[in-house]
Amino acid sequence: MVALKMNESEPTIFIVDDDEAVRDSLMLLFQSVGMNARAFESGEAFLDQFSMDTPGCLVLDIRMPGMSGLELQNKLNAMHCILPIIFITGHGDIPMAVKAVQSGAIDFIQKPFRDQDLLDRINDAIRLDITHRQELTQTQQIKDKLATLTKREYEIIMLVVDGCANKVIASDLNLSQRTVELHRSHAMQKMGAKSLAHIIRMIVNIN
Amino acid sequence: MTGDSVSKPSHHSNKMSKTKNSSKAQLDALIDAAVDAIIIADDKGCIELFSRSAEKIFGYTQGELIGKNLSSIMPPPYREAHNSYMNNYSETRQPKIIGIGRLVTAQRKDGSVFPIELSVGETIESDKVQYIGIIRDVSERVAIEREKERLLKKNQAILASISDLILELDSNNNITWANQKALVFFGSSLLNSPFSTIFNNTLIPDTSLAEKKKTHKNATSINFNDTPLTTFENIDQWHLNQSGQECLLDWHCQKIKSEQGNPSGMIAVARDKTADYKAHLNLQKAESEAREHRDKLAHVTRLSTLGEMAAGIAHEVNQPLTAISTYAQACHRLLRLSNTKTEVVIETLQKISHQAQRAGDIIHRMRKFVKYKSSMLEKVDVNELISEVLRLTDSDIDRNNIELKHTFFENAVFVSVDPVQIQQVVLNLIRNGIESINANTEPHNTRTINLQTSNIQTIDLQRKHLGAREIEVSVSDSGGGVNKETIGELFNPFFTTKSTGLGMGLSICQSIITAHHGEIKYSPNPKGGAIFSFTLPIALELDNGGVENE
Ligand SMILES: Nc1ncnc2c1ncn2[C@@H]1O[C@H](COP(=O)(O)OP(=O)(O)OP(=O)(O)O)[C@@H](O)[C@H]1O
Ligand SMILES: [Mg+2]
Repeated sequence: MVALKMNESEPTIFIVDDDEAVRDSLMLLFQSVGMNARAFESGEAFLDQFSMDTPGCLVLDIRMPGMSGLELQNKLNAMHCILPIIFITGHGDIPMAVKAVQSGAIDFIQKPFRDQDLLDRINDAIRLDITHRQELTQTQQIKDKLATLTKREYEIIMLVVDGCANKVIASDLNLSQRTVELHRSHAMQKMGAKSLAHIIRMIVNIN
Repeated sequence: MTGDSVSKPSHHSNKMSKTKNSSKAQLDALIDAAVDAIIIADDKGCIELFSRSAEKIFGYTQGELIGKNLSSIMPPPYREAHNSYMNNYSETRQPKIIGIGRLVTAQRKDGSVFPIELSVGETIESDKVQYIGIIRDVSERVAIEREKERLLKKNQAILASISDLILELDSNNNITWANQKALVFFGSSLLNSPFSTIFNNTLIPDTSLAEKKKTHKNATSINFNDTPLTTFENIDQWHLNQSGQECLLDWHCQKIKSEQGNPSGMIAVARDKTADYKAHLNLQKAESEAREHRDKLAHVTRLSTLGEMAAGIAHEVNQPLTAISTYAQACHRLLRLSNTKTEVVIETLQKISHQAQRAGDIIHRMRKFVKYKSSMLEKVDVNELISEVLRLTDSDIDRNNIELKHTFFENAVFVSVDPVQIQQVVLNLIRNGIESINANTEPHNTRTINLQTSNIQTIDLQRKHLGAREIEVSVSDSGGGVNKETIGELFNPFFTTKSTGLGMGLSICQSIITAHHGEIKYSPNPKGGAIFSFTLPIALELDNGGVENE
């Protein structure tokens, strides 16, 4: 199997297909367009070797002996794996493909396919995965920052995001308006929020 | 005891000469040696002599009976009446038994009663009357006669209950006896008539029989007059019975041998097989119906397996096709790149051809499958085979308002084929014809399908046998025909121009015909439409007179 040099940060196309010729030809295609790709002969082999941290997408044959494409999809869903899946299907597999899409696959493509159609879908999928991952990193960062707030700061920030004025917060919490303002500016600093709009967007994001 | 028996006859011998004395000894010896019992009594019935055989037969000793009355060896009621019989005779001299001999009963000492044959003589010397009774124990004979009678009755009962017709013939073939069934069937006039007359008069000649009844075996006429007592076995003949019904009789004969071993007559038995025959007809009908259903079923199953098969094949063929198209497209891209090595492209092209081969293999495998696992070769008449298909398609043809004509080669033509497969070919061709006619939108189009079988002499140098003979079956329709461009693709699997077609029909037909060493081809119908025709080699048929040999 032609396995290109793996680069963790570089997007990778994972191919899972039981047919060696199909795997091999796909590897060649991706090689011809200079994309990173790895091929696996079964769902089991893929689960064994893939890393959730690698961005990219999964090109998955829907009909395979042993673990079927749909079964692999369900396993990945259960692991909260966000790798986008493009199913390759046969002629009469439309009902299965529909099921796959309902379970979150981003698309399916019928065999045999036009290379450009597949490459377009793969590019879309990889872009989506990168955005997803970025978003995920952002929310994680926000969560991390929120964890540094004191109890009081957290309380006040949540009320701010809810749209309460300092005066209202002060009376609600039985504090002086001055104390509220102090906590609030500390919290904003810790969160790295440049404006009220910014902190609101952050909190909404993580919810 | 003995003294008594000797003393009485000696009463006579006193008056006899010396020679008389010696003849008396002879007489005594005779009496003792006689198998029959000899009893002598006086006119009062008093027993004077009781022979040795009498002792044996009656179980009494002489001593027990000498001087006793004859009535002691008679059972009641004769015992009581005997004295009056004797008195009666003494007075009237009208013999009831004397010199006559009779079958009467006697009683042994142990009280058992048994049949005897009794003859009585009388001697009168001086005025002394003596009665001499000779007695034979006939209980065995009577028992045998009774058994005989019982057997006779038993036989009569058996003969009456048998459903076969039974005739007894004498050595001149005249009917001397018939059982009840035979009398009812042929009429009582058959007794004493010659068997041949009865046989031939009731026989229904083959020519006046309904067609289906003619097929019975051994329908030979029998000439009895020439050779009396000719036996025959298993001859099925239709006879008209007294009530005017046609009955199928299965005749069997058996000679009766006299003690000398030469035939003295014959027993002819006829079994009425009409009911069997009718049952057989019904069975045949049921069988042919079952066969029809089976064929229909076979067709349906074929179609449904085709559906499944097509899905499986589509998937399998898709794999190499996907690889091929992906390799090709990758190659295309690689060739546009400046740094691509030619070896990679060459290698990929090899992979492409390898995958194309793989696709071909899959198709080949499928075709093998279509050739069926086991074909049952039967020698059948092509015309009959096709007639059967016509029956199967009747309803289809009617429903589609199509006129189906057929022109059959005049003689039966035998081919060695799997009938179901060949029928499927014809069925497929007819279906295609119907579909083509239905698809034809041209106005004034006729709706006819023509089936034809013809004997052809192929003069093909490539064949082993120059001029090997074949039968050709063609199905022509008045549909739209085939486009010139697609003629080459007709027999390819999955080639179809129909939205609902699988494109398997003609491909399967070709597989079947090829497996039968025939050929199938398309030719345009000069009158418009399509002609699909196939050939089959004619079977060498040696055991059937209806077929000419090659
Ligand atoms: N009698 C005919 N007249 C015109 N075209 C015909 C005729 N028979 C066959 N064809 C053409 O050949 C094609 C292949 O026929 P074939 O019987 O193999 O498949 P099909 O009829 O399309 O589908 P199916 O598998 O159901 O039989 C048809 O689709 C039709 O275009
Ligand atoms: Mg057809």
